[in-house]
Amino acid sequence: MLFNSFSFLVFFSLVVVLFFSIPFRFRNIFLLLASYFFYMLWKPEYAILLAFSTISSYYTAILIFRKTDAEKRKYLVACISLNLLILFFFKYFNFFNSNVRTLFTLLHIDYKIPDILAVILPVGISFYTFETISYVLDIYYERREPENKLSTYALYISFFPKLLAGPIEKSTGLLVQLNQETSFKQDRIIEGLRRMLWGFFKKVVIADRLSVLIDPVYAHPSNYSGGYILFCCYLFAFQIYCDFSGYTDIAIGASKILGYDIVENFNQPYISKNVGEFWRRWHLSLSNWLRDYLFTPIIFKRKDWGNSALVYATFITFVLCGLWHGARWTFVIFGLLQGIVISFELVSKKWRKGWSEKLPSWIYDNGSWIITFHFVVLSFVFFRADNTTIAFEIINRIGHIGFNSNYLLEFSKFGIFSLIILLSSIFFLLFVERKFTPTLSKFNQLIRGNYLFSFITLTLVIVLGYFHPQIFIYFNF
Amino acid sequence: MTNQERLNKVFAKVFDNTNLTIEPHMTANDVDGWDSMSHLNLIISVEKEFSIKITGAEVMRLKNIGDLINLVEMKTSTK
Repeated sequence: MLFNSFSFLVFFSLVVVLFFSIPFRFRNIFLLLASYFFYMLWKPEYAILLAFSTISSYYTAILIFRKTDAEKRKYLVACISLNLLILFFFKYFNFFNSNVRTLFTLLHIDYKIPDILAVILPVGISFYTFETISYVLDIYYERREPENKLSTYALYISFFPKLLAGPIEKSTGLLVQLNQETSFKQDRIIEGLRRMLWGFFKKVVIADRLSVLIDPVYAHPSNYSGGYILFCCYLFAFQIYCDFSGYTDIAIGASKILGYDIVENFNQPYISKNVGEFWRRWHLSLSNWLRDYLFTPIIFKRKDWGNSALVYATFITFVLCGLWHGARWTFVIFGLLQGIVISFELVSKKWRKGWSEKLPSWIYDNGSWIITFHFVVLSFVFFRADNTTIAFEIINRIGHIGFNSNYLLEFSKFGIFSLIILLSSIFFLLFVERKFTPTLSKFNQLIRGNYLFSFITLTLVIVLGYFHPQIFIYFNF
Repeated sequence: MTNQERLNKVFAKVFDNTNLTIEPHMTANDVDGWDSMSHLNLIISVEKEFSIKITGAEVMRLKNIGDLINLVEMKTSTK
């Protein structure tokens, strides 16, 4: 069930009415059932994987809590390996297998292991697997005690607003709130509804309209000129932002209506002045997860290497970050590019500080911003392209931009009216988010208090929305 | 000089701030410039100052400066 569908609006309205009608002691069970129902509408049998991941991590956490230091580690390793193995099987096996086959063929060695036929990726698996792993690690690192009730823990993992594409919640956030009573508050309902509305605006007015323009270019780049492709690469930065942050706005708004605050995932990523900063503003819940449960343990395991440990950990973290998005070489390259640039930023900190003192601040700041934004746009080519051939063709065509009279003809194919709608919507988005979100609290104030803003947004969604339900891009991860 | 005072000197050097006074309840959010790089430098400097070894799991269990002070106390007393 997509957030941007009529059936979700019906489902969510029913859940909210029933949730606030029943006594508090039944609410978690009710939400748990609603969440599993929501998940099972897609493919019922995959709920078994969700339940297995939940139950295995729940009981392992209790064992880790009770056992001695030496035994803790065994249970930790067993639980994480098992959950990662399931993730690997469904998400990466065919990719890994086909690459090994290619390697063996090159070496003229017979290789007979077949791919798994038509394995469908269980939606949300990358998100909930990371949540179960972080919960077990939190217990291992003594950051919290195990949750008393399996049903509450199961709801924390399966909570439907964030189940399919995050944000990846820490056990010290939502899980704590699920044990506290929430009451019907009009302010929260209004704030939640407006946040959802803003998410719908980003998704159906900007992201889905942009996909109509961008998808054909990535399908057959050879049909388009370098200039047109470059224009679409810039636009993709807005498509992916509006698609994913729009989804997150809906998830945060829906949670808010039910009385829960889940974590923010974005904080104006495109104003970043270096790539490290970009990852502190983009998909925050994933970046924080990777920092806390992968990057930091690696640097302290290799701390004898000094600063080389940072570079080593950065590479591993970002290659895995790339692969987390999907089993494709394009994602590996996407991660590698981030790893290379962030490693450079780490080792050049003093050198860059020297330049920032020598140059006028407006030159240094704006220069850093332009370089960072263009790097992000370039790396998104690998993020969006279905394979490396397409990615390199796109870059190659951009590299051979020339001026010719066909440009106007190409742009006119898309329709001048659609283009105006899109560009003005993007300006509206930038105006609102740039003006009101230097701190997220300002944005929340705007969402809470301004009826005109909500009226404009609602009108834009109804009049300009592209209502051919498109899947959220991050559902594929 | 107590362990906390010695630790304070290490913090002042790593974070290049002679006015820095550490308190047990303080976390990375309370100290300017406490990022991954300075966290690594801090732990390495603490190991050198007290001639102790801190494992990765021990670092991951630290919730605030108080935990670090306790860890140093424990390691130096059992040396």
